[in-house]
Amino acid sequence: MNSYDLVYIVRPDLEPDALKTVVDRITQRIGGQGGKVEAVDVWGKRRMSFSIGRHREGLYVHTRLAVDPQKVTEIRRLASMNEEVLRVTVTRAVGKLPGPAAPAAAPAAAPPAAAGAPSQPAEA
Amino acid sequence: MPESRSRSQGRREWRGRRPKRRNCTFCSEKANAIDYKDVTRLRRFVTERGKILPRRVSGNCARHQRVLATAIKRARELALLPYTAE
Repeated sequence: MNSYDLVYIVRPDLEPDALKTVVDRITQRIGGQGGKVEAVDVWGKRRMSFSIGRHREGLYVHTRLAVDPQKVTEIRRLASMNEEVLRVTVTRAVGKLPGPAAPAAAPAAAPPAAAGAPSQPAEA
Repeated sequence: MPESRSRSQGRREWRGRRPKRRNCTFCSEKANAIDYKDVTRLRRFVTERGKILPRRVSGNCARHQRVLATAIKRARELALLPYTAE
């Protein structure tokens, strides 16, 4: 199990409820692939540097997840299989998580006593 | 041998502009990875037109320049940074 960053852009005209449905559906699909969602961070509406699908703004959602490497392409496919999602990227986890779900935001050398701690910030 | 020559010459004389001493900002903070989601950080390393600043200008070391370039390209993919100026 490696840690990955899943960042996707959702259409900006969605209501907060609809956004939650999209996020929940993707979280559910990750779970269906045996992945474990460590944190979900909704950045909110941002202006994009260029328009995607005639939208100038987008709702950004960042998810930190732990999953087997073989499942990554499938997760990317499942996340993009959604009318509301404009763009999806999956990369190895980088940087720290500001989200509240971040377990002990990895203060550098965490003691090995925290066995099975899901926070495993992989370097590049 | 170049080594012995430089020793005999002592300080090397520079023709034209003397190169400024450069410091890799990522080395100074011992960064291993550069976060492509940290746009404010990345913005300092692109021009107004959205081009990646060369190492010659930014002063980064080769290793971090490579990592930085990847981070900028990932940020572009997410429309966090522009490919070109509009």
